[in-house]
Amino acid sequence: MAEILRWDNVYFAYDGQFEIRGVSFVLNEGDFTLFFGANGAGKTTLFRLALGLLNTDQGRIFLGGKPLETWKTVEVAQRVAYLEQELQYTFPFTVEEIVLMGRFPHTTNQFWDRKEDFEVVAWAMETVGILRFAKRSIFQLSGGERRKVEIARALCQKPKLLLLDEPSAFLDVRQQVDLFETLDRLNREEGIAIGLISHQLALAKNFVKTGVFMKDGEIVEHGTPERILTNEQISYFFELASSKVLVF
Amino acid sequence: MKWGSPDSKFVLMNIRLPRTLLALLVGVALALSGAVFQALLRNPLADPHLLGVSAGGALGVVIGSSFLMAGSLALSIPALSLLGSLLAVVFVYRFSLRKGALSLYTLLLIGVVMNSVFISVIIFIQSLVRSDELMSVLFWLLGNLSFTNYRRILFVAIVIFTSAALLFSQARKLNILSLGESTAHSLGVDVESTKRFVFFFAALLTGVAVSVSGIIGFIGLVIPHLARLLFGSDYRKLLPASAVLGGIILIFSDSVARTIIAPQELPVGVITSFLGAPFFFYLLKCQEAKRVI
Repeated sequence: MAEILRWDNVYFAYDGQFEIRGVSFVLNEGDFTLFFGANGAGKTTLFRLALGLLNTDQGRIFLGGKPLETWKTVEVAQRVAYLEQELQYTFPFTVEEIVLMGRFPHTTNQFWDRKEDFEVVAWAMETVGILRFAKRSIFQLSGGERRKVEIARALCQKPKLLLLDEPSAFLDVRQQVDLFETLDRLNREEGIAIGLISHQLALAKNFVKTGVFMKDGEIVEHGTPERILTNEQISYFFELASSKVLVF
Repeated sequence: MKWGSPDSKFVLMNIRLPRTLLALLVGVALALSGAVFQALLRNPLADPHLLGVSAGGALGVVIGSSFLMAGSLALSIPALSLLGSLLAVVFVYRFSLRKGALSLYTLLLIGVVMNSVFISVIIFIQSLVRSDELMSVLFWLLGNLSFTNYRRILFVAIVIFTSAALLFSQARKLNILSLGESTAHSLGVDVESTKRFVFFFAALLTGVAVSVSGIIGFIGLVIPHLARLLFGSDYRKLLPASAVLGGIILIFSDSVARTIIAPQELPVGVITSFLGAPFFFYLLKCQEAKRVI
């Protein structure tokens, strides 16, 4: 499978403190990878570096085999979509208006949306099951529905890779399962590689193909969910030895 | 004075018409810059006077007319105001740069703080210098559209329509920017240059409007919300709608201000606030009812 994104011995410091220390990792086409670890382990920073929202101090990041800094912002957006942890809306945009914003990287030269754009938007909303909300205000939607709007927006970018930062935080169980099933479908049917930060380990285990455990800015371990996402591993990773609680 | 008499014609062409045109232009400018600041700062309560641009202009006028006018310096009120606004913009902008990036959080804080500093200085100067001239300046500060002429209108029209067109061209980016800087970047928007561009031209609109009309409140805050309620949040529709509504409503407010206690005149800012505040509460109620807030 072809490589999409590569972190190559990446270091990143903030206020003199290293937040990422020598991370090397590759996301390939078809991947569905879970990044997990304690809060502050560097997961979000790793994603933000890959989007050019932060710059590496040492090491490099490659997109499609070319150094990230040689791509324009808009070219990155044509290949990688990113969902922030918790998006706050200021204005009552309709669902359709927000999803349409996902067309921006492919339509920077036009002012109004064209018929093709509306077709892509309809397809994206259909794919994640929010077509019936199209004309509603984003403020009227639940957390789970809003995540789907953001995923539909990301789909309109026609990305090869979708990076999501804790999309299932604040969702109830039904919404969480729904979200993971949607991501699974995008991965299998649309061939979109997915990188996901989540604390819902038990749920994620059912869907992801790879687990990556991060601690103190380093990738400590990665492998298949069957090997990595077990009670023994988790109690070792998170130092839960004294606890009898089972995660899975 | 009869209709059609030379006197009424003179009043119409040389007093009423320029004043109406000026109200139109100022309404357009304030409503547009309000709408843009709301998206830029991601704050529905942002208004053109929030960031100290207007108070800077007012201070320029107060300093100019208190200390400099006494000498032979022949700068007009609009020129002093524009100069003050420009200095305020540069100051607020400079101090909002963090590692070369414009920090919107800092911009908001510094803007609000500088705004009250400028106002304090104005009040301080007013307490020291008590002159008739300064009283007329303070009256002007509350918003007044009566001091104008065609040459001034032409200049203001050129600046306002150029800035409006440039901001309109950024409408899609403003939509995306209102989702936050990280998301905007991830959607391919060049966030830094867009922020600077729209900040500068929105501030220019404000500075020019204030220079010819003083500080007229509520238009910049309420009109974008009215436009949003009527035409939706998409800035491609919101900006033209705000411009048109802003122009019409300021013309209306000014004619009320001019006639309600005739032959005396109220500062138009009093009317926009009187009409604006209840209307704003009504809008808030509507939005709550629709569960959009």
